[in-house]
Amino acid sequence: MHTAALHGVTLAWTTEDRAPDLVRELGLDEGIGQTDGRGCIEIALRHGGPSLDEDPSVEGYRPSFFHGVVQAYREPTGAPRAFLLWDHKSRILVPEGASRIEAFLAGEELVPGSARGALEIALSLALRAHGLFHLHAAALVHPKHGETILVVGGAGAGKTTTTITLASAGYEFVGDDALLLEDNPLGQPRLCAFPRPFHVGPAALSAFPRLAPFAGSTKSHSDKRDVDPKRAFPGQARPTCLAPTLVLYPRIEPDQPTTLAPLAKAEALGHLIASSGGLVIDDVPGKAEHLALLTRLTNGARHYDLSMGRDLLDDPSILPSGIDGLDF
Amino acid sequence: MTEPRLPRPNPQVLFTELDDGTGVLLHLDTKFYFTLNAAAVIVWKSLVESIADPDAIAARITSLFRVDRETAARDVDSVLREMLEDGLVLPP
Repeated sequence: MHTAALHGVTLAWTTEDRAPDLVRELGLDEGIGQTDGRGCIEIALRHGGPSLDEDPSVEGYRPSFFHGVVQAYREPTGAPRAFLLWDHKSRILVPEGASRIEAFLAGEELVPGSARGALEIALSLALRAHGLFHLHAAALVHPKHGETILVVGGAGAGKTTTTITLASAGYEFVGDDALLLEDNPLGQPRLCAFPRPFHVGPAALSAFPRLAPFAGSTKSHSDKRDVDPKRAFPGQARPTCLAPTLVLYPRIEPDQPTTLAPLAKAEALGHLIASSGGLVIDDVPGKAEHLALLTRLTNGARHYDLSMGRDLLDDPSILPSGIDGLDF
Repeated sequence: MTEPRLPRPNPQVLFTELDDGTGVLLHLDTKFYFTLNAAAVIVWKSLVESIADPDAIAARITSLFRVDRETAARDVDSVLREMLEDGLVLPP
């Protein structure tokens, strides 16, 4: 059995029958964050049987939600409560309240990384019971005063461009796309890293040519390239940071000048909810705690719409200067 | 004379109030969220408290904000109608 820490949760996993070590593929095998205090999640990775590519609904599983090619189901009526993730090739079962994940893996994937993506979703479901909630966002730490800046937006909004721009200006970073929001009733909420490469598009790579040597090849399904952030920005990766005092909501408006404009707190909370997919899954445990956490986070910060124009790629210093001019 | 009856909050809706008096409703069935200004927050909280009279809600709003009674009553009607359309409240 292998073990690694994930922000206080001990991941304990086994691989059987030469099943792929998806925990290692997710970059979680080195451990990150504090070593204990939030319990243990056991993960069994094994090669599955011949019927894995059959739609689980045939066996009575009820569709719940989907993310990319991964379809999630709830247990058949009357069966013990559980989620089942299926990428059309492999199945991953997450029994509710059991702190256990059982992966039945095929030898192939529908698209590269789909089984790994299914395990990541399974893990984010299991982590909710341990007080860690997935947030689709980037987080950085100001190089001078150490305040946290959270960057919230959907796919293509400009989170990675914002992250690279600020990291290039000396900000430390926790992540560019996926974070875990830590519930800490006794203190401030914290943002925790979920290790991932930065997915950088061609325009950002062209604006930051020094990243090119760290970029992997283009994928068949995307024009973005993986950049290892620890190599591209050595010494700037952080496992955690405090709750933000500033939250940016980027969107790309190529023909407009880059601007920062205040955003009302209710709108801000709405965006945070929209970036917290786990919150709206039917019957998922911990909804009230999750929403309360997002509310605390909203109340504790100032919020700004960030409209990013082409001028930012020509002169990236616009953004850090603009942030330094804000009151937060 | 019968008392006016008001819609009741849909139990599938989560309400959050922010420290600036505004709020957000999250509809767990449709997955849509709805932002509320401070007056709409008063309307929602009044429904939760089972206040059955729109005039009483309008009076509350008038006492808290610089708005005349007629405007407040119109706003309450408008908020209730929109909440019904969006399924945030259930018909009486």
